[in-house]
Amino acid sequence: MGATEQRTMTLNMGPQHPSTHGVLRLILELDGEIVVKVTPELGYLHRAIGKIAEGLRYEQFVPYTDRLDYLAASINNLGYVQGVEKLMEIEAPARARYLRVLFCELSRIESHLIWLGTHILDLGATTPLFYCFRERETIRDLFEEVCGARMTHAYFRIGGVRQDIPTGFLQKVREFYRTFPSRLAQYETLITNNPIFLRRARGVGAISAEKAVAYGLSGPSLRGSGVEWDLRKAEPYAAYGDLDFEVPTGANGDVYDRYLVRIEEMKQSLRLVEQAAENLPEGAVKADAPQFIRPPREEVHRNMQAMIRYFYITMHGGSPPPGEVYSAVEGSKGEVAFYLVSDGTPKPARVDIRGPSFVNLSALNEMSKGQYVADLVAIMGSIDIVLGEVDR
Amino acid sequence: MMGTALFFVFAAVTLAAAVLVITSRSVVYSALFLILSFLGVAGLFILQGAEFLGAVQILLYAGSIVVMFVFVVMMVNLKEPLVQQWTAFRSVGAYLLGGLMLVELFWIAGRARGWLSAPSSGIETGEGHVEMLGKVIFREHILPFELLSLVLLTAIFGLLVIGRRK
Amino acid sequence: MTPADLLFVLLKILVVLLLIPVTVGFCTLAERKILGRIQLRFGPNRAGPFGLLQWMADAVKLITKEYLIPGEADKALFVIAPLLTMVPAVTVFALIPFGKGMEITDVNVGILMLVAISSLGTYGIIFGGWASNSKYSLLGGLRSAAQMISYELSMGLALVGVVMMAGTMSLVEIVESQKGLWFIVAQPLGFIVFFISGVAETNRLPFDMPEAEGDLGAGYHTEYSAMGFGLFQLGEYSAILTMAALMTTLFCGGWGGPAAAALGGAVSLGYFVLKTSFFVFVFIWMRGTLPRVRYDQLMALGWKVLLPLSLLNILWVAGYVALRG
Repeated sequence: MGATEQRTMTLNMGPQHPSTHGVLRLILELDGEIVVKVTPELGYLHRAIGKIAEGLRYEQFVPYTDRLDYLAASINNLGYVQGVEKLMEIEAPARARYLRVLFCELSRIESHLIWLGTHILDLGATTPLFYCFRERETIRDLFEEVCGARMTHAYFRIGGVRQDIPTGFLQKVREFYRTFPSRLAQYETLITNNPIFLRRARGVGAISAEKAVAYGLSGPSLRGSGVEWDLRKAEPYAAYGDLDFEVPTGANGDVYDRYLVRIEEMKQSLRLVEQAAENLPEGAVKADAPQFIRPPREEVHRNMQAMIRYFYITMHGGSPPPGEVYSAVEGSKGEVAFYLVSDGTPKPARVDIRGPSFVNLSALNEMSKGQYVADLVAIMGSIDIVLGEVDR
Repeated sequence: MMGTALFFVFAAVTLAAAVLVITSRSVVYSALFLILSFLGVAGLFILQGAEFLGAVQILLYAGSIVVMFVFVVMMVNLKEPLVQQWTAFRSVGAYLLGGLMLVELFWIAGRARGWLSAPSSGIETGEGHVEMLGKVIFREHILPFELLSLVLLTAIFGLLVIGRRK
Repeated sequence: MTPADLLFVLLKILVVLLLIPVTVGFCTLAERKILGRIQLRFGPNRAGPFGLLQWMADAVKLITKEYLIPGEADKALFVIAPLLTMVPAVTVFALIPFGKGMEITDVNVGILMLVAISSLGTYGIIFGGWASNSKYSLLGGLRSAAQMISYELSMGLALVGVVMMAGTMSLVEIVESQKGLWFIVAQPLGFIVFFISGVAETNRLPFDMPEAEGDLGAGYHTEYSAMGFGLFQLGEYSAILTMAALMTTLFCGGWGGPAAAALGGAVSLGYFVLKTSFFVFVFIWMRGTLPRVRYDQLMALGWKVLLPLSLLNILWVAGYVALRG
């Protein structure tokens, strides 16, 4: 047998392929049905969001962050506004911080629901997707009630949140966390112990803890390998320090462990939602920082100074002192981080975004080497990428 | 009357397809015509009242064996026709052998029935055919039959050995 | 055969041929409705009362659409391939006894004929995949070929059990021999093997390898549109109907049931339709519930589990028949 024999076949997966979850192109090198090498081709959704930020005032950039991981928009908002708050040296009031936790955890559940539905859909089961979307609709209705948007919330503002929650909202949240556990149990009966799913997921796409850390994985993809690292615990922000929750970890780092971690995370997020809703403090939802934050409307109508300030901030914007800051939050997919550089003007000098999907995707080749093409689909699903975040 | 008409239809299909098998430029088409030819033969069997043989002909030849051919052809993806690899010597040899085969066939057929006579009713139609075949195989020819299965078993082992070597 | 006989046979063929597309139509409708209910949706409910005419709208849409043939495709084969799938799937209906005395023909090697003809359905899928000249289609086609060959084997061996117990290969006589005891009770193992193989043969979830959307796009019919796609679907659903009808005929007493033999006609047909519908429902139910197995797991199941099981079943049936005398 000659060594020159060409045994591999190159297959293009994407950019239009149902399992790449967006416009991602994978160049597969296959030996029969075994994956030899995966090369992700990125950039089909590149919008230069970081560059756009340089032309906008700090507060104007918030809606753009919605478009990163559009399945959990609030978490991106939080990463950004916390960074700006650090630059401006202000802090959101307690009520706003609890509302942020509430929104972020609902977003996390929503994002994980989509992951669950599409991941299982990739493995051939169509029904769980519809069940997941049922709950997702409930969550979106909640969002819509507060901020009018269902997907791109832009609810968080520098120094707080846009406005207080409407009356009766907490009642609806309560209803949600009362019904959701039974719904989650439904999915688990369909999937968790399904022998076909077990055979598709166990031992597939395993990555060791050392490798996972070396690749810079974060989020459930990292915790699935048994590394207990969660920014909400490690560097508590918003109101996470006051709340009680656990960080689930896996052991083998395979598709199944990542699945279990995410399912457990949904339960933990629900606990957080419950605690945040029940312990929601009274008070203002915006920080008191006259040089950066607009005064409330009523005051603008009564007070000349307030009106001037209102116009100044709207037309010119607040200028944080020069400096740089790295602000990271635990997103639904991993560490969402913003690196902001201020030169003392109302517009950021530089914004760099760390998209966890992008970093996690880099481990795809490592995870899927030597596995079947069908496994590649399972692995892709288990990394849970969002293309809006991969190509920023 | 109708039987004779059908006989000629099936015979024509079988022969035409057989000719197309060797004249097609694409191997995949050859396989397709091979199936058609086998189906024609199966039709002839059934016309003769040998439904069992007909069914087996479809199942084994048209169904399984050609699938294997097609599988191999597609795996190695033979795009250019095989004819190009043929030298003059090979073609002459092939034609000679084919011609010899044809003469032999006609000779046997002629000895059995007389030249190109209409088909006789053949084996009796009805219940007994499968049972009869079973009795013949398992009573009269049991030794050759078992030997045959031994040969097949050996072939399977051979395949395993070759497959394992990789 | 007198001309009157011939005319009668032709008439029967015509009736069945006309009924198949309609039944398949309703089958797709049932699938969409049931799946809809399973998935918290309504399913089609716009065309006609309760969406009952949806299948007709689908058919009209498929027929009137442009038949696109990819530029690099092998045109002749591309057009023929869907027919190769559909024709065998429809042909086997000639052999199935729908009710007492309701069959187009009773061949004395019926079972064998049936397996033989349905095995030809593979070609449409392989050739369709090859003719599309796309890697995804080709892989889909080849997977299907390997899958069908593998499962035909255990299926055939499961059928041996039925033939041994009935003592005949004629489907009509097999139904009659189940008057006392359905074969599903006498040889449950055989039924399980047959059922799983049947699902694999028809390429349905959890064994829908050839068209695994997740990794192969839509597999062998990725490039097909309009009626080419329609014919593939027709073939696929005909195959499901055949499988369900076979499970009924071979293991669940066919058209038999209380008073079916005495009353005959419509009653026996009713029993047959009822049982077959049940199996069709199970097919749809599985699609709504299960994920897909991986290709190598499918092969391993076929060769390492089902094949030995079917051999075990033959042993069991042989013992059963020998003891019963």
